Amino acid sequence: MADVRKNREPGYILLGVVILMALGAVIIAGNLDLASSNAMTTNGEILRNQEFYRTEESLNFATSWLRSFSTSLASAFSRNTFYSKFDRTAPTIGANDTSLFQLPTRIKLQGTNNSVILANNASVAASAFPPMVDTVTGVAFNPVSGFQAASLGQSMVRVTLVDVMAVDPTKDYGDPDTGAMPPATDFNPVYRIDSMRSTTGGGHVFGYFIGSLVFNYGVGFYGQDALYISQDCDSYLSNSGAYDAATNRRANCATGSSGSVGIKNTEKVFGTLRTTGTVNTSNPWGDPNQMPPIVCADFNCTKKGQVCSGAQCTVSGFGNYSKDWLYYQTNYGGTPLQDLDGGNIPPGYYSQITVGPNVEARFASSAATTSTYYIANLNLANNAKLYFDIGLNAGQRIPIKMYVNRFTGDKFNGNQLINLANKPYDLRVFYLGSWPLTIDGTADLSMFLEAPNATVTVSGSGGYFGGLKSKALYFTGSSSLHYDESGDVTTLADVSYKLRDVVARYR
Amino acid sequence: MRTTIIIALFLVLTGNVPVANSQEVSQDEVIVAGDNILSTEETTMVGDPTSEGGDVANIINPDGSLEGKVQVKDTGDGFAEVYRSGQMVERDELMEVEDCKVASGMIGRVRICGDATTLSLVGRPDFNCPKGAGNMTEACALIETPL
Repeated sequence: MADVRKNREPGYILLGVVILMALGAVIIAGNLDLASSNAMTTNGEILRNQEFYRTEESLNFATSWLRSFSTSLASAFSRNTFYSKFDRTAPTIGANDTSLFQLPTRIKLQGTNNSVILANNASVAASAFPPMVDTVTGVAFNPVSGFQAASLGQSMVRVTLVDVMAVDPTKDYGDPDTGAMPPATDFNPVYRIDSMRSTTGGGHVFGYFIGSLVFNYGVGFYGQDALYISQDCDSYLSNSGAYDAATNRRANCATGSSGSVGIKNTEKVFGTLRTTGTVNTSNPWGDPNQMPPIVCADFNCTKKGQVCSGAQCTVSGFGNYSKDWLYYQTNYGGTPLQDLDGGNIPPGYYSQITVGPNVEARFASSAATTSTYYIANLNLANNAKLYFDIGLNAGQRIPIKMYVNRFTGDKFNGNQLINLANKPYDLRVFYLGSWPLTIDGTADLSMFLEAPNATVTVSGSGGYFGGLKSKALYFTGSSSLHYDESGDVTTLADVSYKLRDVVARYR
Repeated sequence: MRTTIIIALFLVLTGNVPVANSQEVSQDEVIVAGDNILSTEETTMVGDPTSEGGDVANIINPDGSLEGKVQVKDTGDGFAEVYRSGQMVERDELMEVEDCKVASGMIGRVRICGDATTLSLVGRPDFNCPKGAGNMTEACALIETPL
């Protein structure tokens, strides 16, 4: 038989090698493509990150700028200014918003169709913003030039006033230009901040910058060198009625100092705390920057009230005193004197007034006189009662002013100076002496007291209604303090901001 | 068969096996989107925002009251009276200073120079109180100095 075995076919191996090489080439090509894609992706990611960080940096610079100039950007949003600066419109693009990137706004410059915009680059929008007045310094401020001069990093930034929200919408009656009544409320601004590398592409970060107006309620309780509070403090408006904790108390107790301040960590100040000095946080004094707060914005105490410490804070201190004050500081010894025990005591100059035990005396105001008492020494015996009768002039209550160089015993209480039937600001007491003064007892007190030369300590269990400013002030009692806002003047002071809903995109 | 196994093994080892639902990264894609990425949650609310007052408020309420309005009155017989919300809250004696009259008190200083009346609040800016009818000014407002 013939051998039928076939010889091996050498080309078969070659074919296998070719196939394997082809496969290898495909794999290598795939890997190269993958590496290329990865490289492109990585590069794109780096580029996007760089764009994002640059735009984010500029956005942060812009928010810092707005915060830095917050007191210069508040005045236009007050009730008596807003509609003279702005008009409300339907959401429309402003005439000055002509770039590829546009934003509809509900606020326009008064009498124009221009949106209210601050831009650091004309290609992103034409700036338009009303001139402002700093609410602290009273100095005029041009936001447009200020923003353009600001260093905001490498991106284009525009700040657009997209809307405002009335603090109390029920008291915004519309634009007075259309015949509406002027608003009885102020307006919180709502800005949108856009930070972008270009109007056509690249990184873009935007967010909403929501303003909240801050008011200065004066300083109800002020200790120039020191203020230490161991009692709760709230506020009310005596013009709206007597204080009632259940119905009309408010969270605007204003406290301040130019020195050291401390609030006992078991007590609450419902309002604000400002000092150009320092805050003592050593036990038993609390830290007002920690939660739960000891300075509260509301009575639920879920939000911290405004706290400012350090040289940058502005605090209302003592007033500038009249010639009466200066005159009496140097001349009280030689003035006419009357020593009266009981009865009605007319305004005038006294070297001493003595009100004996269980004696009732009365001070009174009237339009015909100064309603001012100048007393070198006021001697109130135990159980002496000094009442204050408030006169009227054309229906107006006439406050009584009382300058006292010294209280005998350097103390008095609410059973001796009786003003509870009146408003606290009906009695304004100026204590001229430098002898430390103690106010104690169990009865409530109602007055505005100013003692720029003396340390005043308020102890006892009586409440205090009104305001008190002194060289140093210590509240050590067990009752509460109630600042009477009606006896002072409230002003728009500032606007604070929250940055919300920030979004970053890459185009 | 062996060749097929070898090829499959290569693909698995090189990670080139397609995976369901994978996406390529697009340069148009939103990088980061969301809420509060950069939010600051610092406290902003201070006190009662519906407070009477405001910017030494010039308010005419629907009921005709004078809520929040601050005015100054020169009584003509040597006194300056400060009114808030239509109520007198301080009465101070005026003294002559050069061609003006000045009165100082707890709230601030009143300066009357002819028809111009200024109220300087303690620790705060000056307010202009425009001349009104009679001896009572209109509501005082923050003085705006020219730029």
